[in-house]
Amino acid sequence: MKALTQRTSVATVLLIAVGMLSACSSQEPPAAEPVAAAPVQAPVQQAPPQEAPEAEDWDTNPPASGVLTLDDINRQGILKAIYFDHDRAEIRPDQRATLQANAQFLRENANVRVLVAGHCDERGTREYNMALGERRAAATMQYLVSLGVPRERIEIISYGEEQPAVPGSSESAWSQNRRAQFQAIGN
Amino acid sequence: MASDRNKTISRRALMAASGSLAALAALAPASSMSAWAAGARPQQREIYLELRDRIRKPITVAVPPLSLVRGAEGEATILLEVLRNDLHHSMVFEVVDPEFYPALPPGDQAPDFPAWRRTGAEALVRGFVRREGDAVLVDFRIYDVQSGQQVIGERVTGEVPPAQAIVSNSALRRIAHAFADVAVLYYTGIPGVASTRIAYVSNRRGPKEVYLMDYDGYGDTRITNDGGLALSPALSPGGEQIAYVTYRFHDGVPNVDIAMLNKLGGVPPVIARSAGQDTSPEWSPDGSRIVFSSTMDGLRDANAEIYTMRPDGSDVQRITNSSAVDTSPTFSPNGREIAFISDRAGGLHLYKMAIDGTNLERLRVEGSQIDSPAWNPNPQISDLIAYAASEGGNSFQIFVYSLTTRQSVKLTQGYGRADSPSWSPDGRQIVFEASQGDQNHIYAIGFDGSRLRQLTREGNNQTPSWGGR
Repeated sequence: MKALTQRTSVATVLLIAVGMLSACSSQEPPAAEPVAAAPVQAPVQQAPPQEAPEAEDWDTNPPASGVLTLDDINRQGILKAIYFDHDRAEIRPDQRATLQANAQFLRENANVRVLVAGHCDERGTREYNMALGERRAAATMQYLVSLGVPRERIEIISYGEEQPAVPGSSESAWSQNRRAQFQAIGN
Repeated sequence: MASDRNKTISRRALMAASGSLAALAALAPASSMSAWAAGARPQQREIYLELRDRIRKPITVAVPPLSLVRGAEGEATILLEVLRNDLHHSMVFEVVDPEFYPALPPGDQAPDFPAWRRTGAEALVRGFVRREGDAVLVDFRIYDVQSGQQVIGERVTGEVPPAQAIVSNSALRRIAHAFADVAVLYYTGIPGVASTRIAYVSNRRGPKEVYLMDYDGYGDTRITNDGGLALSPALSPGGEQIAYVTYRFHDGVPNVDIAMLNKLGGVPPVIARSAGQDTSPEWSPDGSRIVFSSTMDGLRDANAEIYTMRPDGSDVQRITNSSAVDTSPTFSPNGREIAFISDRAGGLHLYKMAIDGTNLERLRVEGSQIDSPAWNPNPQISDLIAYAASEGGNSFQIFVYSLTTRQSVKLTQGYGRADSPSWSPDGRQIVFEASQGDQNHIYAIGFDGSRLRQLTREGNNQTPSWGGR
């Protein structure tokens, strides 16, 4: 078994008020083997920034409060999920406010990339739900792009009906499973 | 485990037997047919009869207890049960009720054929079991009851240490499976499927991984260790490889790819890793191509199209070209056509077309929200396509559509959702998943809706793929 190649990406340190960009290093090629991590948990990537601020900068520009890591964003649920009607992939009018808030956050934190994951409830057939989940993720991505989020900062994926948020066969469970979820990911 | 074969089937015996069997078929007891036809709608009964006559009328066979030559009583009991089940499930035989069996003479003396004829049996199976150290040896014979002639003699052996001679022992079960397949080969010209396996996905031990089991549900083994989601396996016709859908990370981002498991082990390499989502792999019957669905050319709006590629991922060819979702493809037995699902006409419908994308035809099958088509791989039954469909509401059942009669037959009933059908390599049985309440299990059924049986018991199980002769 080959050893996993170490990735030396830099943590994205975020200052909400200022929206300052931090430096990002280039990445090593991906590991040869699959990384056995459940996709919904954000990989914790923290390393010191490439360029430390000068000493005098500290005096004249005091650090802002509220430094957020990717892990923080995901654990605090800052990017909220949106929901869909049965067998549909269109963005519902009542979900637009959530998408606008998510888009605003992404515009203000320009080095956060986002993974949009489309999901389905358990009804219908399995194969088709893989395709429907992807269409939900794609529709969500297009809406974010129309709100000014650069396309290249958005990744999409479908989990079909394979990862329900809520178990069970009630209308309530189903409506909570027909969703697009957002996960902040590294550069 | 070694399976040693000393075949004594001769061409002349084969032809002589089929002649006498054809004469006997006219005398076969009517009761053996009514069981499966009972309860079916009138038009379905006609279709069943048409299908069955075209393939083969079942041969009534008597399978009395195996004779012991040297100390292997437990083994003989297990082998008998496995053999009877294998012959019964094969769809080629009807096993005569053991209640009616006359006694067998001791040792190697000739059976009382007139007495066996009175049971309605056309064929009589005898087995002689003995143990030599760790090896179990079985001499199987089949007699044509009408003529008293022996038509098959076959020795099968297996390594089964005495302490391991239990009902779940694979090596022991394989002895019976091997002979059952020989019997089917003799009477139909193509081998049986008792020695074949089924790949499927289960969450019984944590995240969804790919498993393998024998065709009868025994010997289940986990074979992926992805730690994430492993879905939609496709077992190759030769049983050596499994293509499946995997969530692999590229630059820290998960992507839906197709990977290839090899029987020899090792980390399964990804063979389809487009920027889009690659799903729904299926093998061509000769094992040379894989057909799959991908959004690689339609990233912006997740437009899924059908592609083929070599099993190493090279030579990707696109087949469909529509803004609709095209997915769930399956090859015809001659590899020159595919059937697939598309919503290009609104709603989910079944289509077929030539492998070069021409001759597109929508198939007007029964049910709605059609999905998961599987084309019968047997060239003699190549006009049958199994699929899942809704009869209205949220419940789905398995149907079989005939391209010849242009009619559908419903095979299952009562499930919440029956889905993902897959044919046995000889095209006589279908394996599928079905839900009852919050449980999801794998089942197998004969092509005519008979012989339904449950194959998994633990966890939730889905998307079976029957291959591997």
